[in-house]
Amino acid sequence: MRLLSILRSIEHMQALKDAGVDGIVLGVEGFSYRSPLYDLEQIKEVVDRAKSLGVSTYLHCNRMLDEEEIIPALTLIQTIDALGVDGILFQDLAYVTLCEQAKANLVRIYAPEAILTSSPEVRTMLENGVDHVMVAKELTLDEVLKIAGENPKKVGVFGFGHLPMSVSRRPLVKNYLDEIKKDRSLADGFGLRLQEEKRAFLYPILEEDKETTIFQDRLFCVLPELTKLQANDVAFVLADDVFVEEGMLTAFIHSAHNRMAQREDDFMERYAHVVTSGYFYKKTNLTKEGN
Amino acid sequence: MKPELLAPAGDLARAKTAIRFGADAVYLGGKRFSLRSRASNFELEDIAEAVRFAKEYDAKIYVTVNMVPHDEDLQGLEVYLLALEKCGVAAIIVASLHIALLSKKIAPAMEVHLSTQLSLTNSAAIETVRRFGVDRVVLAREVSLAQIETISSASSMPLEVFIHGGMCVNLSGRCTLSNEMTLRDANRGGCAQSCRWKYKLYRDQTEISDPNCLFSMSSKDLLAIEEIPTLMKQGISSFKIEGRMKSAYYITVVVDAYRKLIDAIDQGEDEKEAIEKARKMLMKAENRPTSDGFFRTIPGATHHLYGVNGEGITQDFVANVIETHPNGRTSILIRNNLPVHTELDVLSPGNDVRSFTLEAMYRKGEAIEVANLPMEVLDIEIPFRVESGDFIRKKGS
Repeated sequence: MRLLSILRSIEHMQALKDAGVDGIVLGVEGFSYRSPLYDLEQIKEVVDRAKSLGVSTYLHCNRMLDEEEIIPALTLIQTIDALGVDGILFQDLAYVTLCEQAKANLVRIYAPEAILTSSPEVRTMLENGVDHVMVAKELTLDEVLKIAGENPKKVGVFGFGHLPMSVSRRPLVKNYLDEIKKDRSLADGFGLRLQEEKRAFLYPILEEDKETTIFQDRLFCVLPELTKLQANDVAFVLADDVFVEEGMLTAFIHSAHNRMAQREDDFMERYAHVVTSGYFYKKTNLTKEGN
Repeated sequence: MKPELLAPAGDLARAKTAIRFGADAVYLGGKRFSLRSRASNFELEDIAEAVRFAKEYDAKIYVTVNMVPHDEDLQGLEVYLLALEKCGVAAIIVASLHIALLSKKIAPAMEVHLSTQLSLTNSAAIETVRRFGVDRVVLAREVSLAQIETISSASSMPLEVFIHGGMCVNLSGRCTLSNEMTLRDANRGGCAQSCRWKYKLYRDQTEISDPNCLFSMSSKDLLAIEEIPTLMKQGISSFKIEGRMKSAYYITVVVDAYRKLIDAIDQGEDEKEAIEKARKMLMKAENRPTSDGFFRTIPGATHHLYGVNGEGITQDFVANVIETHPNGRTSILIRNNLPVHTELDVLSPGNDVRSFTLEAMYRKGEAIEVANLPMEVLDIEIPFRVESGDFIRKKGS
């Protein structure tokens, strides 16, 4: 089972490699959101350095493409393939067609964050132009293990970070600030939190150029379940550090690497108070009537 | 070619109403495999009856099989698909590419329409989904008129576009706000519409929201009457009205308005006049405040509902026609308070709105001054011909 991590900066690569990362994921200007953005020159530098360290490189092409972005996306695919990027994680099914048109050697990882919720669905995608998938974040552990077991070494999971709950193509915060006549610049950056008026949770909200994402308040962390995931042929675990305190991401990778090698570590003792198992033990199939 | 007008229906009566008032097709949900679980009231025999009724009007029935299923939800799916095909259902609407392929394989007589849950926004994605046997794509609501034109030119896939009704504020199919806050899965019909709730907004631990107007993501409903002429020129196959949970009266008003608008434009009538006529008709429906969605711009503050939540429920709709008797009186089914001497409108399929004043009302032959028992059957005199199922509402409200 491989450990993948979002690369927050080029300088961070060595630390991640030392911690045991197998692959790094970076955003690219114009085609990614919720990820650190790199231009093509920087991507080349990252790829070259990653190859020297024995680490794979993936681009997080997670934006849904507008029609006028199709040709630029095709150009991007051709360019990054030539640069030696190993693969892409994508949400928009356009990338299946674009990779085929470009005859790209990129590993295609379909990661729509929801939608992939059953073994037949995963199998359907794997048989139709996709090399790997990331299953939906709202699956229970049993569901993940079943799907992964029935599609060995093809299924990845989100393994560390704040789970994104929703993404909008509207500038939700700026629109609200306009309504209450406050400065739009208050929408910028990582300092925003939402609190539903009857609940205590503080949900991070990130407004970018074209997307607004709302995240769960707690940190999702698969460390307690890591060996089960590994035993059921999960292909990879992805870690992200958006809204995460500095150092925790590297600590997670280090801990995950230890656990897979069956070495002891104290990550969960140190961070148990801020991490959660997400939906692993929590089904979300209630109806309005509570059934 | 004129686009199809596709209307929603939460039950058989509403399906028939939509068809009578001019829908070319109606989409509805069975008791399983559908989103909007509270609007999915069709047993198989209801679906079969809807198909039979639709055929009388040359209309079609589509069934939503658009949940995003987990493994545990898939039991009985093949049997269900075969049963729908046997009923004569023209198409299923799906959000799962596995279900798309499966349906094509075992129930090939039904078309497969790909739901807006897949959030398709470009022609390359549409090209990808062809391999799954898809016959039509419902575009994401996040596309502009200009983008629709380009997509339509670039792709030969029949396209369907939402023109009216409720809008998700987040990308369809990818939202788990409801999962988080209520353990109800939006992708399996349990959406609690958490996006319409009120939130405090903090920046660096200081509240910046206005306590008199808390943050909300709630979107105004879509109203696309101004865009209909352009969409018709773009060759869009189907215009979709959202609202399987809406009332029969709402469906009547909305379907009637868009039917007349589409027909007027198709017949070369003055577009501005036709649009204004439709606008006046639609104001009578129980809409939330409306906007043009993403059609012309990225939605701004005026596209949201801050401090307002529900539909503007009115008491305009007062009765349905049951039947006219040889003595000239018409039995009506009362739906709202109705006093004598009220000026009333009658909505009949294919007709302009006709008006009359209620001069008298009878309960078992006895004259009464006011009807105030919902679902009571009373007799009145209407000075023109009406049909069973016609809608009566207060005039000019």
